[in-house]
Amino acid sequence: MRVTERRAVITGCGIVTPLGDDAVAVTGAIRRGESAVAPVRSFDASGCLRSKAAEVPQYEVRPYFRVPKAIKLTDHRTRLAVTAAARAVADAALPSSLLSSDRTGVVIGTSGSDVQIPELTRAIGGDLRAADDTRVFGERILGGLNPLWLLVNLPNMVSAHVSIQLEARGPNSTVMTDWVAGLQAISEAAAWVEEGEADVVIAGGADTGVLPLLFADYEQAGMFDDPEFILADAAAIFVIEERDVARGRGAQVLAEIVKPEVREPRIVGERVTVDIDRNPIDSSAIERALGFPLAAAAPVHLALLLAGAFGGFEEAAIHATGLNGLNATLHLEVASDSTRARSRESQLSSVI
Amino acid sequence: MTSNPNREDIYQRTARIVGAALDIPVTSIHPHSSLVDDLGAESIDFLDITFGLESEFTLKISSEELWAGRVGKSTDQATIDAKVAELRQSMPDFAWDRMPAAITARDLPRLITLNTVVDYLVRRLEEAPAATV
Repeated sequence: MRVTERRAVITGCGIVTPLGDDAVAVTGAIRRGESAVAPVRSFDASGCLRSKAAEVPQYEVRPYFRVPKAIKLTDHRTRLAVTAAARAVADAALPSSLLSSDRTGVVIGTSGSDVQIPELTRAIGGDLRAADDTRVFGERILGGLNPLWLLVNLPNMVSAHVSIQLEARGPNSTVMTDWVAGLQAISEAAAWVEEGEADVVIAGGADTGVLPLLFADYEQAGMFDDPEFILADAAAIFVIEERDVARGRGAQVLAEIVKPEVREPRIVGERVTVDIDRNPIDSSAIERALGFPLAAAAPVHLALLLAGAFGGFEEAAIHATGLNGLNATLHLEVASDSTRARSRESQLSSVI
Repeated sequence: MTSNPNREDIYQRTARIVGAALDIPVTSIHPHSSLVDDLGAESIDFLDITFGLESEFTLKISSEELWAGRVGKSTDQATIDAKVAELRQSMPDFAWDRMPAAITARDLPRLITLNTVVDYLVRRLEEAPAATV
């Protein structure tokens, strides 16, 4: 039973993936058996146990930044987030009067910074005293690193930069709960809307695992023992809106986010699973084609679900399981005024 | 290097660093450009520019000295008035008309131009041993 009459609906979606930037086109590519998994291009991974990844091709980020000067303060995952958020806002046809408001929030799931190992290493150099002497370490860091390094690597920068570029002045948060972070961010956004904290929330996941430090971490942790575990980068961001606000401006409604307690979550050990009308769907083709972009993985599944990758649905659930047993489930229903989820039903069948 | 770079060389290198920090083409930067008013610099950019200059000229730069050295950091209005009167003489090409009639301590960063930075660097490099440049 609903506690509030306020309801959260999804009115726009923007993605950046290694196979393309349009969810319907990506779905088509996956159906044709295409895959973005290839030797790592962004750094030399030839000495790693895993030397392949699914990387987003290089693209011009400048058009997505309202303030291009801020690009120097961003790392790869923040740029993915800003790009996907701009696309989501365009897809939702969100007017600037609604976007640039203290009633519009941002919450995005991501992983920690890669701390830019090359810059850090150059700053510290070969002075081993830095390992034992905090003062020497501080002098090396302060003297040898660009002072903006810290601002690039602060954990909340992903959501911060999205809000700066979009001028969204409402609540702002970054979720960093591992692989479930993107899904939790979307749930958090729905809660903000339902509880009246915000009328619009830009929410989703943006992440990359294609970083030297993560490759080293995952190799040491034995994650690469699974031959199908391919790291990736991607972002999927959504415009989540209060239903009456969306109706009032004649927005498209892709689906309604319903409260998690409405359905029992399907807890399984897999990384991301999708249920359509309570039936489990084999979504493994998505990971084979796009790799696993950590906190962005479940949001990417959601974007493809909304694009009709699994056919039409009346209700759906996406579940993510993280390391250390973290779980999150997002439940969706086709809203009574949904325009897209139904229309795609006859156009696309399962991606499998 | 056997001699210190000349002023024009310092200006070109400074303009390149400022342009990169502020994401603007070097051709948009002029000797009398106010870093704040004309080039859009914010406090965070001053950190970036200082670091860039330190790396470029192999100098340890005191931010306070660089940014406040010419315009001063006094909050005493009589001192500020005297300093501004001095600057009006030495910076005739500066766009004084966009400054308020009564310039206060809060307005002082707006008076920092490319020439302010270059003057500082010329002085520092003259003091520094040439071999370190």
